[in-house]
Amino acid sequence: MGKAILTVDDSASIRQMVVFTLKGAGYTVTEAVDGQDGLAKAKTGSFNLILTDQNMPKMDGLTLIRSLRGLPQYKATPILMLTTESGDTMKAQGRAAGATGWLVKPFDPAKLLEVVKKVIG
Amino acid sequence: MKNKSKNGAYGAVLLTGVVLLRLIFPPLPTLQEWFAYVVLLMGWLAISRLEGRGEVQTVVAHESEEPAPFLRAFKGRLDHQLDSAEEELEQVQKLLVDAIDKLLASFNSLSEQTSMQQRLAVAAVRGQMEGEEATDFKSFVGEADSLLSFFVDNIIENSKTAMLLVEHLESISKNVDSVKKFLGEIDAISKQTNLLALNAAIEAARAGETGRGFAVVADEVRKLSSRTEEFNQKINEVVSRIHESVSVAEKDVHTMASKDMNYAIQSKQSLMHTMDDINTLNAGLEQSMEQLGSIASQIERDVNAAVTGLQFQDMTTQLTEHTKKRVEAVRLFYDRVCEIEAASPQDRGRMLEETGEMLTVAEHIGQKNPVRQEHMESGDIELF
Repeated sequence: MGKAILTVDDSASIRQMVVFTLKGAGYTVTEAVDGQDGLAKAKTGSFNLILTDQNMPKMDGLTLIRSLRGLPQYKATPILMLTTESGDTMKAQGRAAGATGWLVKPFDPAKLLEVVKKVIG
Repeated sequence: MKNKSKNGAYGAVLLTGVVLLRLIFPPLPTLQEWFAYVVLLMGWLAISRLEGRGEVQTVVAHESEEPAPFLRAFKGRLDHQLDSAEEELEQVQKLLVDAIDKLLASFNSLSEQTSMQQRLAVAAVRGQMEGEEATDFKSFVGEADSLLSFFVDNIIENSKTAMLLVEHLESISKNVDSVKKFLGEIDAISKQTNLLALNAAIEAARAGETGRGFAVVADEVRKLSSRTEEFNQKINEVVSRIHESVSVAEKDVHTMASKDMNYAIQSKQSLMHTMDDINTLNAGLEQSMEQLGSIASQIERDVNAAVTGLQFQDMTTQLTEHTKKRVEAVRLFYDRVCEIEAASPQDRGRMLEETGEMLTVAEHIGQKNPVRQEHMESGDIELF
């Protein structure tokens, strides 16, 4: 059983691409369709890494990160933003919220895998 | 003159509309702006046509006390255009989602099939079944080579030993011949002894009573000679059989030694050729393996590039969502213009001011476009 990763994105195709990339490398990937769904799944499950989009209905990525950092079990869990947003202001907000890193879409599967391996091995 | 001044007022309102729309969309003209231009153009054309038919006079005469509601008259048609634009944007999104789902499934399958193909090819080359322990073909060839060389060398060594045996047997055969010669000598001695015994017996008979004891000795010597002859004959028979057996063995060993040697030498040469062929084949297989690995890497890079490229759907979806917000802003703005048109002159100033604020909000939304990318190269990565 590989390490568990939660991917949160309202785009089904992006989730599929993340699953395609990480599952092939032996990780177990769970999908969530927005921030709210992601938070619920994070509470009921246990994940080694969380990948989240920023712009999503119901709850955006930054709010999700802040909520997760409020939970004892996710205080130190790596959380990577995977978003089309590339502005410095937004990145600074992400860093302040507790994000571990920032990946701008579109992502190269090989580079995503490299970062994930670097972060959780 | 009065009609002309009214038309001038309508024109001013339309012109203000164009300017305000341009304020909402400061960069290059967008879809929404084109909609707005089309609507304004339609408005101008409608006025011209109404003027041409004299209907404007009727409208103006009717609205001599309030502005003509021509903007409101076109609202339904504008709404229809905007609704269609929104529907078409949603259709684009649906088509993209459907296409990307299929493409992604196809690339997933392609990637999996390619990986399986490579695993099978590697297994076939290494002669292993999936899940079994890997056997290195090169080491197998090496082991077979040394094992077969050991056998061939052993056979050659045996052949050499057999040749030595032949030499030894030849020597034995010569010795046996010598023994037979000696046996011939013994036979001659025996015959001569027998003759001597016979002569002694004759001389003893002549001597009479005094030669009696001598006759007994002569008889014993003759018996001894007979036994010697008999024994010599038996030895001769045994030695002859030994000689025959050694001759047969010598012949057989010679045949075996020469046959084995030729066979072993031919086998060794054949083995060397076979091993050369296997090594050539192995080198070819290794080259094919390298090519397979290189092809698989290239396919992986291509699939990765395709996956990166396919993410345009996420971006275009966000962009079309953003465009829908702009369409909604145009709709609200037009509604507002209609309200201003219907409002009393004293309210218009306040309403125009409010419209300015509304446009500022619309501009703010316009600046919050989440997609800044203008190409599909993979984005930056930053670890905090």
